[in-house]
Amino acid sequence: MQASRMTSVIRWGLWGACGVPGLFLIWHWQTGQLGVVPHEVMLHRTGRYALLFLMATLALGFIQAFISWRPLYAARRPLGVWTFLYACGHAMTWLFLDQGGIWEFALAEMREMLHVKLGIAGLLLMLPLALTSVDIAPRLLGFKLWKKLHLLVWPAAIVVIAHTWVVSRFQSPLVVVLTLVILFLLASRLYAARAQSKAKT
Amino acid sequence: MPRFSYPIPASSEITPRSDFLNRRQLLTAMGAGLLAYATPGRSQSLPEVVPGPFSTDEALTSFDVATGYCNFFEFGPAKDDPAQHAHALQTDPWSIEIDGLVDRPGPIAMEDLLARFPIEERIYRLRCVEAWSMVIPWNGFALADLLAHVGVKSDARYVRFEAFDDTSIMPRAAQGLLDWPYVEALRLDEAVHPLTILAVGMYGEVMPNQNGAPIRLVVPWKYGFKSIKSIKRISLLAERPMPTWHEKSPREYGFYANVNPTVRHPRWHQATERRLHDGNRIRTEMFNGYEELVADLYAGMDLETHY
Repeated sequence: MQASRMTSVIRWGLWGACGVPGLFLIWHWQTGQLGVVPHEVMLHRTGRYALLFLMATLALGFIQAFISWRPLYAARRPLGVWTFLYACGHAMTWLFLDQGGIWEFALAEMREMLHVKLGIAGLLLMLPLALTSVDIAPRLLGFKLWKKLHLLVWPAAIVVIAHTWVVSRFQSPLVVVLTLVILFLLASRLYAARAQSKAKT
Repeated sequence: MPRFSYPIPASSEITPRSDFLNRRQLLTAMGAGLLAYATPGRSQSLPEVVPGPFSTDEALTSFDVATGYCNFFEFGPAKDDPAQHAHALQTDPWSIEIDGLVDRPGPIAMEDLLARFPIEERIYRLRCVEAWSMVIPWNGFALADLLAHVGVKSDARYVRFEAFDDTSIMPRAAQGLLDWPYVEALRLDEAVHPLTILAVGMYGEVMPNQNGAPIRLVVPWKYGFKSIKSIKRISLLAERPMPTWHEKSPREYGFYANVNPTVRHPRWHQATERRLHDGNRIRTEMFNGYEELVADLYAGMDLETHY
């Protein structure tokens, strides 16, 4: 198969595939299959999906450093944008189902609760990335600036994992592992950047 | 939200007139209920339940939600774990060991408790520290009555409760979660407060295992974790005992754990709560709406410090 055709298979395949867990969730929600307190399951699942897609996005960058297979590059955007979409779903579930859409209550939590602040910070850090994920954005911004802007994914990842720590009651081994993976990926990214800048000078 | 008012029930409410006139029949019914209770593979029925004081008239949480969404960490951390795993708990025979500063220490069998204390219905709000709430019709009797029965010595200040202690029936995921057995404690004046009950059933049925069979504490003005399930031991003590959650994380779970909308938990804001049966988010009331009844217990205490 041609590389360019492979690229579009990966791109459009992933755009669709990443939405599947969300569609299942909505289907289970609407057909009453989420147990006695469905909105809580919605809240947890949307949050987990966002976190896992974020991890996948970051991991892809790492894998690309070793496998220079061009079509793989097409996977990053769907993964990244779906991370943002699941994070939005998570926030909307919190606002409209958990907080009942009552702004007074939600604002009080935004002002006073660390995990809510971290969640909003994560969402805000990802917002410019999602907005500049359209084809013309790198050209409009200039590729260098666009690339620099997308380094925001790292502070976003740190904020998101901090949010996860705050909301987990027991130290879940999974959260510890995810944290270590993020730190490892960040370290490898920093190392690569340093090697690159050395090579230039 | 309906405002809670101090209930002074009419005498006809305390004992239905027909029951009063037919005491013999009532006693027979109680005996039959007891027999049903004590029989293995028992039918799900309780001795005669009479209406008790302090009940709210708010809409009840459904039995399915109250039995399907539980925190009973001995059977796992997920809300549906207890419903799936608590059947492993053998509740018959069951007795509570009473020890410490009491006149008559020793074990009391469930049958004796049920025969001795009339079972009342108390419809209470239940407010979890996790900012959700239910309204549950408990069936039980005042803890004060049991304490009066065993005789509390004058130097006792605290009551310590211990849940069943058998890690072999716990799912593996639950075994390392907390330091078992689960322990909770009340100050003696809290324990003998008329709101505080030992519940042996709910919704007119024998207590389901996942809700703390066969006997559990219900302290409606405190966060739910104070209302320890499946009690095996009650000790009267002079010194303050160390409850399980308080020991695990004293900053998060205070000894008193009174429902208080102004004191934040690190993960739960606490000013509001979600009623699980309708999903509505409502304001949390001081002492879970029982302020008029219990505020005196904490007169002069800084509830921000003693949360």
